[in-house]
Amino acid sequence: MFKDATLGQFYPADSILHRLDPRVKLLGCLVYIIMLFSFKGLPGFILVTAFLVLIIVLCKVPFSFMVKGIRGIMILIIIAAVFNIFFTPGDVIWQWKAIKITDTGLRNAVLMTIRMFYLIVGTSIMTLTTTPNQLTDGMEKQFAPLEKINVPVHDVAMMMSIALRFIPILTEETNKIMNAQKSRGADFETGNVFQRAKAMVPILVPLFVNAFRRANDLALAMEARCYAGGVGRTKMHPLKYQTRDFIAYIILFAFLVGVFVLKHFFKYMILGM
Amino acid sequence: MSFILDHITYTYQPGTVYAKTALNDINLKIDDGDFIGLIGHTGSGKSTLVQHLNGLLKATSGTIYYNGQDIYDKEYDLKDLRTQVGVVFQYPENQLFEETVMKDVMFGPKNQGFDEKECTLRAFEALKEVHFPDDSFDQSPFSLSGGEKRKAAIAGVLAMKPATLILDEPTAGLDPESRNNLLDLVKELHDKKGITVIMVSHSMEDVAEYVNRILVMDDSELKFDGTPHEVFSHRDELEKIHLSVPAVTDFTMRLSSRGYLAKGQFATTVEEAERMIIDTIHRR
Repeated sequence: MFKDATLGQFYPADSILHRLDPRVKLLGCLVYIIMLFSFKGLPGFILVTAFLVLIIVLCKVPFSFMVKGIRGIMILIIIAAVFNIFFTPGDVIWQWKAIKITDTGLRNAVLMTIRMFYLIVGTSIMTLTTTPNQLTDGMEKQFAPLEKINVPVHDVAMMMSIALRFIPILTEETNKIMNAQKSRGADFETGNVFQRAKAMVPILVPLFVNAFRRANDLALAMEARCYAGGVGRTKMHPLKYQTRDFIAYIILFAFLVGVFVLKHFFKYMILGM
Repeated sequence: MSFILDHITYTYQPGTVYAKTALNDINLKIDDGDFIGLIGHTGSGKSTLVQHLNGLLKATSGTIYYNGQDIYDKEYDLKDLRTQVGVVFQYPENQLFEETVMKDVMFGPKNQGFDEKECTLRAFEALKEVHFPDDSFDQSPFSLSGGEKRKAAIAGVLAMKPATLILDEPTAGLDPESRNNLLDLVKELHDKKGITVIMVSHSMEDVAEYVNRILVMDDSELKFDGTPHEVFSHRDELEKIHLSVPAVTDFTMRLSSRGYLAKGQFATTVEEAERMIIDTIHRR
């Protein structure tokens, strides 16, 4: 059931991207998204593509592994593209009865598809190269100044890491329960929507019961170890910037500037794209 | 004739960095009426093997025959196989979901397509078979004690009247008394109903007294297959894979190595050791 859920699953490898400080990668993600949605024209597109290719090569994660996780989201992209093609007003270039395709629609659809695809691949590299723990550590550190205005940054980060930690546990548990119920002759694959929804009850009830039990155990274990929130808490591996992190920041900034420069200078060069 | 496993190999997530071979070329024949102890350490592949026997996992290569039929055949009805091969998973109490114990035990027979009356009858029989206390039949399964929950879960599988019963670490997390009760119960089911039983465990101590055959798994491979006597005679090899023989076997082996018992003589159960020692004393 969850075999193909590789999207965002950490992929262990020894690459420069894996070693980068999670804060750099978080900011990198933001910069990448800004670049993606602000580029205009072919030169900008080439620059963004160059950036994406660069990180794909650097992260040492097989491209097939990345794409495998995207398959499910492909449907979403296709639906978005179809809506763009057929429902955007503009100059009609092809028509059959009420269905018409316009030039702006076609252009939007292509652009949209590229952007969505790039967005998913680019951001999934973030989670492919960063362990959930690093990720929450990075977020906690990045948003630490917000503590001053009473935002419980540490608590939120702790909740996030616990939630992330529970995903594989609950996945495994779901599989176990499914196997147990299948062994009792349960059938999850056939029947209409209602029958299938009803077939989920024997999975969901034990799953919830176990999840609450686990949450209780965890809370107890944390309290037994005197956990009392973030105040005065130190880290085993505190985040520390290295030279490579500063270089990465410079490269990121260079790409960002590049996109805006190209956008400004080549505004009218490529047929409005 | 029951099960024949022919060169079964299974790999988790093949073709990725997470790829891991859990079963490596397993060949095995399981006869009707066998009482088998499947022993191995955590991660040796025993649970994976068990999931092959009722078709929950499909081998990467190799074939399984049940009563002479290839279970990987497209025409083969896996649902039917699952009603004939009942599997009680580790911590089976985690599968309980209904409002009452009775309803939960009826889940299996209902999936088999029996009518309400037959389901109730089967559930009642199964609960009786596991010696479940009568006054708790209509209780919520979540309010039971650990040992009773497990009994209810086992009854849930028994209600389907399987010809083969597989129990994956049935005694894990139980107190000594519930453990003994459960093992006696399994023995009773095997002896009275003649069903084939496969009991997975990581301890020889648990199974030696009950089974007629032991399978030892280590590092995805089947290392030993034989009667408790045959398997325990490989004591040194077993110790190499960090499995120890039962205390009573160890004791009798020491006795024989010091000359108190005949050379090479050892027992697998306490009763056997008792007889052995008394016989030796009488002979002197």
